[in-house]
Amino acid sequence: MSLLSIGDLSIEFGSPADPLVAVHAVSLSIKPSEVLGLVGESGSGKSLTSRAIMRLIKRPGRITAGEVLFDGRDVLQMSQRELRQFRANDVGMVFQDPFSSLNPVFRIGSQLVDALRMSHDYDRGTAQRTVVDMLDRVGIPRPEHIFRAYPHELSGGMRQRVMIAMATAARPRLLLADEPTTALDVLTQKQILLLLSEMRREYGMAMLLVSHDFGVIAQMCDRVAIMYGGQIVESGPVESIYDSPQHPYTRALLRSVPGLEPVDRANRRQPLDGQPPEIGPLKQACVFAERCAHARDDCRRTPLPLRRISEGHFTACPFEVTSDANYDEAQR
Amino acid sequence: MIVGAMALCSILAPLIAPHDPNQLDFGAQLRPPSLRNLMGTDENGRDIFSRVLFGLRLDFVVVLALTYVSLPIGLVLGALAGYFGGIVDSLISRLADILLSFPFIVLVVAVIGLVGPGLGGVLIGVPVVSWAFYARLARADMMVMKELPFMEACTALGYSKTRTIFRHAVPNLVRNCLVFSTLDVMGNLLLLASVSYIGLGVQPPTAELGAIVSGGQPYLLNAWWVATLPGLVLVLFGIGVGLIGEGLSDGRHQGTS
Repeated sequence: MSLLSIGDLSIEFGSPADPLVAVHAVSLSIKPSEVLGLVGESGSGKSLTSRAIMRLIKRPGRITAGEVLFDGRDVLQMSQRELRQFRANDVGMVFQDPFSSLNPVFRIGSQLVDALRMSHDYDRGTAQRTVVDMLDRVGIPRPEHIFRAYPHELSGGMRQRVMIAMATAARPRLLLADEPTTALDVLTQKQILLLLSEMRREYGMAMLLVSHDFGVIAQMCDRVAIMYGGQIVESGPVESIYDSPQHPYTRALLRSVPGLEPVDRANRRQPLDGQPPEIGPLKQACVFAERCAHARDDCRRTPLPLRRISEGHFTACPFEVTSDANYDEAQR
Repeated sequence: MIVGAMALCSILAPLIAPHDPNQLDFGAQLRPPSLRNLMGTDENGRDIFSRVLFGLRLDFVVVLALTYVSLPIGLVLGALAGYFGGIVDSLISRLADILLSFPFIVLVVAVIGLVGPGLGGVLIGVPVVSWAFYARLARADMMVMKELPFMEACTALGYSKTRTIFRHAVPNLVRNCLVFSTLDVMGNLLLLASVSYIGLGVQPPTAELGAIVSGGQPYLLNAWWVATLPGLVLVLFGIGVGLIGEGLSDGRHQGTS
């Protein structure tokens, strides 16, 4: 039984008569305490998908089809009241930009106390003590001191720690992390990721980690879904995707990740030619066909459904991986 | 500092005023400033220094009331307009536009015409119009802020709209409105003085700075102190308030950088 299951989710912009499809027929599921990675480049619809889970899509964007089942209840059908309950208690979200995700005029402590009291019936004193504990747990030194600090007095990493404390205050069963480390420097990134996996293990939370960094995904996730042009092109267990990526886009993505080996002709990183697709009307074709070296006429004529490769591993590419010399070379 | 000293003076007016501000003394008309009458006396022999103290006290209270009644009204309406947009925004913004398209004082005089001359008219007339300034300011700030991640974070934490707007957004809007309100305090002070000056504001014999200046005008040539010294006090008050505003806005830039 999945904790979260998204079925055929579509998100459109533009007028209903002339829709611009940003996300098309995305299906995902996350089991309790599982970590799912959602990878893709900018504009591939990964952030939109994660936002749709909390119904945070802003106008003019709208969800035009699909369902988001959390624990069997469809988030998209919830009343405002139920939705608030759901947001307060069941999911937490860590945003990309810790610099503007905290209210600049309130002290850290009072913001956390507020967040905590949304889900717990604590009186002010208990809430304050709990918040200091929480700050301590997310690795903030001198929590009593930081409790009284304003957001601008904290560094980016510290603020992201505060955001994590806030998102996990309600002990949600699902944590959505939308590129939580993009705005931070590399060392801080590492610490924040460590913190996230610690918190996840400790609280038994499931997590959806949105990222464009394959390294981060490999380190953190159980399963991964790769998005391109608003659709999922491949999904499966991390090892399976790493060992035998099926979709040409996934392979290109893996090839573009820098490694530690010295760069020579044999293991040179290979950039992918072309541009990601622009948002537009839905095409009756494979989303990746334009940039795909293996594309045939069929690929440009009909949309390609996901097919099963092995247990839990799906790809949208209809061809078996047999001879991809470049890829094999890069692996060696 | 200046404002603080003036506030103190006006609060303590009854204690430090050397004379009763309305005490007539026809034996001492239009006396120049002296130790006995620090700012001289007016055409009715009243001590101008005492009248200025009491006038300042009245001006202080009235002007602060005017400004800080308009501010919350405008702040809330502007915040709503900025947050919801659409029809709410259209209604509030158009109303504000209409009010602001008239010269301020004309509208206030019109309201005074309806209510009758005196403080009542000013107290009603000014907030009726000047909330619009704050509404515009708050609306613009809100529209910017609405897009900031922390507002989304509020939604993501399950806060209700009311809570998001009033507990989390509005406190962010207050600073700008406060800075503007110091300008507005000055504006209102001058307005009150001018309205009293043309005889529609505070009615004699009540001491009010504008009224004192206006009353002293006919004697400007032979008794300059009657109009000039209270006028200088008015100017000083304005400068003091302006400095507070500047301080606030400097503090704001430090806070956000």
